[in-house]
Amino acid sequence: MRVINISDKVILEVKNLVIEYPMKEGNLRAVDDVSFSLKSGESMGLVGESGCGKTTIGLSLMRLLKGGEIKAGSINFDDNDVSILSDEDLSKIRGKKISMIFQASQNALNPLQKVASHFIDTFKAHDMWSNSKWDEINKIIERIEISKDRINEYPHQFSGGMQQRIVIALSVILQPTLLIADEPTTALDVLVQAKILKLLRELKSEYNLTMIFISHDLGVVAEITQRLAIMYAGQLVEIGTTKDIFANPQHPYTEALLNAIPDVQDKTKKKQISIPGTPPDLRFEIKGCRFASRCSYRKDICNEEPPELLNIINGKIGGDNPNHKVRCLKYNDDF
Amino acid sequence: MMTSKNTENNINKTSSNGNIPVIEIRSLKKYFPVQTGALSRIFSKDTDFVHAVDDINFSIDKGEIFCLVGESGCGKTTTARILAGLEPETSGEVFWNGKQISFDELKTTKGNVKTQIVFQNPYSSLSPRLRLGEAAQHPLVVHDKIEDKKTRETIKRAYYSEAGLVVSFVISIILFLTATIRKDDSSLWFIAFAFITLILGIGSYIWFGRIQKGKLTDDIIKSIFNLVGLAPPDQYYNKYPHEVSGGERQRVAIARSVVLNPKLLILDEPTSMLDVSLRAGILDLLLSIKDKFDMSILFITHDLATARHFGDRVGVMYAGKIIEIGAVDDLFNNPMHPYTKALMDAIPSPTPRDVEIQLPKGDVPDSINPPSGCRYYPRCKYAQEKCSSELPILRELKENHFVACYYPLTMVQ
Ligand SMILES: Nc1ncnc2c1ncn2[C@@H]1O[C@H](COP(=O)(O)OP(=O)(O)OP(=O)(O)O)[C@@H](O)[C@H]1O
Ligand SMILES: Nc1ncnc2c1ncn2[C@@H]1O[C@H](COP(=O)(O)OP(=O)(O)OP(=O)(O)O)[C@@H](O)[C@H]1O
Ligand SMILES: [Mg+2]
Ligand SMILES: [Mg+2]
Repeated sequence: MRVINISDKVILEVKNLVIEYPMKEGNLRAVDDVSFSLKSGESMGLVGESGCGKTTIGLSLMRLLKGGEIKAGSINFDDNDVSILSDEDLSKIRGKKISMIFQASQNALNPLQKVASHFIDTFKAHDMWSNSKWDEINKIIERIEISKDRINEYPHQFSGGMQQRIVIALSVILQPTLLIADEPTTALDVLVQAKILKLLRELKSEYNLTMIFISHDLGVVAEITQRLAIMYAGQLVEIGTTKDIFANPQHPYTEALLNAIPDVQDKTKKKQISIPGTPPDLRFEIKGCRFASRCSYRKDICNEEPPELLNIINGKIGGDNPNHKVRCLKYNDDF
Repeated sequence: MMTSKNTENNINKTSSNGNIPVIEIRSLKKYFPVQTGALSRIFSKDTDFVHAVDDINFSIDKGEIFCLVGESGCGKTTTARILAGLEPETSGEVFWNGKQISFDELKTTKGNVKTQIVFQNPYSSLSPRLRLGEAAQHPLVVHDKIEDKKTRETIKRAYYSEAGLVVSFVISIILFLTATIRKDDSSLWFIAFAFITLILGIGSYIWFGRIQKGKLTDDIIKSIFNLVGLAPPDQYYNKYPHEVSGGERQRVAIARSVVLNPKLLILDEPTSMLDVSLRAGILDLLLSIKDKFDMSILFITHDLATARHFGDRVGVMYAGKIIEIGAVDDLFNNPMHPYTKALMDAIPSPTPRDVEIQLPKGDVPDSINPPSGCRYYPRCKYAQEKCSSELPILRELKENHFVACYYPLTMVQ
């Protein structure tokens, strides 16, 4: 059984976050009014189609947005508002207390640097290097099942899966509080992926990490998260426990995503179900529900009125249970 | 107890029925020489080789979708590149519609399109400087592959009008020269004729060579874009690759390969960079194109679930070898090679499980000095003495289900 240590302390609270990328034709609103919070030790999946804003949210938590601007909202991490923190204070958090495994990070290792010096540089970046750290480095290298004799080899001498394990080791060596993993297993094959997920799961409990796991693969997030936030076109459309969402998807988009997962064991489901259509252009104002044009439950009202993210319990909107929320007009009484 | 019809000849009969396959590969090998440092080159006489593809056999029937699955680095892309004629083989034989040809003849040249390949990465497979319309039309123009009679006619006329333009230039210059030399009353006539010739030449060139031909290429591009579901086409053909999504880019890449009407379409992980919703759409598209153009498909993927839903037969590769091959349902319902089973167990499951899955220990073997005997034995929990010394060959343990293992799973249990 997996042991999960979640305390009641809220470590991260994101409130009404709005992020825009300035463009010639107008601002592209990549993240629109997103709120969520994480308790210490919790792990949350952030799932959605390509371009829906997952990486943008991840980067904003460390204020690493390239070209993007936080237009509104707050990011509270460990009693600091990251969105207004001074650069000096921010550098104490970035990479140390909040650490990120970047998308396509297999390419993040410097090909001219030995594996050992990647670790040394990570410590040095936060003035934490001393010779006693070798023990820690050796320990984690063995932990990721790489022989410590190979620590003086160059990245290209390792397979893709080993390189990704090294990237992960680098991201946890400073014992961060919050780890953001952006598609850490995409483009890796199933065996390597399974190994990396297992490693992350174990490191998470050993280091008591709080984790945000970004992916477009629902099967992958189910393996590693307790909570799920489903994003569509810059907004959260559903948030709840992983168990609830898999058992009882409430938003039509979540339902479609679950249906699109092919299952190798299933002999009957011969065909994958695709979600026809494309998400809206985020450079322009969108009237009504963003998913409406692709939704099979659509009614006229969906093109008029934007739905809000509301509590839902037993298929009914309302109540004061904030554990499951959905953004859909379908649950209104008069729908 | 199962009996194994174990003969060398049997291995090549890896096609699912008695028909002559579109393509059949026998004993294909590809070794890459390894770049070693200057020092070791002086001190050691032999070069090391990466055994990327090490003696594989398979065949693909007409209209069939054959999948190759396996861990990263097992040789899938190398196999694909050889079948597209993009990489020379180290050794091996290839039969096209039952007739032996050289691997070189698989390469696409003018008037010879057997195979086409769509590459692994939709982000690098299209030139960033070509607009999507140009990119899609490019292969057609290069390979002179236009079948429609009316279309050919138009192109011929455009071609003649270009020649006509040159001829009219020459004639009018001669007329001008004559006029200047004669310098008498008839000069005016000569000049007038010169102008008329020139105008006729330019006019016919503009009409046939520009307007008509322009309309035609528009039509061609439109039909290609419609074919791959990029509608309305005019919204797309002036865009650059970075201005569309990954899924749309992959559609253009597919369109480019399909327009040449290859008999074998090779797809190297065409969907692994795309999310589930786009993935299903691309697979549907491929199925409809396959039927429409009467093609066979070699589909390379490490996503077993996609292979099962999309493919007819599947070959599982490990460290340069095919270790199991069979019809998708057979193979996935009843995997016999321990490695195939391990791959299936490793698929992330949407329904949270209570027991940890058992992953094979260790990593893929060194491809320069692969283990003696079975390539998988160092990681295999069923391995016995024999596995480390003798290399198992593919045996047909059930009808059309071949396994290279001394202790296949159904026999262990
Ligand atoms: N630097 C940038 N300049 C302009 N627009 C950008 C920039 N970075 C991202 N975007 C746009 O913002 C939106 C969200 O992008 P983001 O990278 O957050 O998506 P994502 O959910 O991580 O997608 P993927 O699954 O493809 O990684 C997209 O529409 C994207 O085109
Ligand atoms: N040009 C080359 N020179 C040397 N070695 C090569 C070359 N191309 C491929 N290899 C090696 O051959 C082996 C097989 O590579 P290949 O690209 O065919 O694998 P693959 O199965 O397609 O893997 P992936 O799933 O990662 O795409 C690998 O060990 C690779 O490093
Ligand atoms: Mg991203
Ligand atoms: Mg490959």
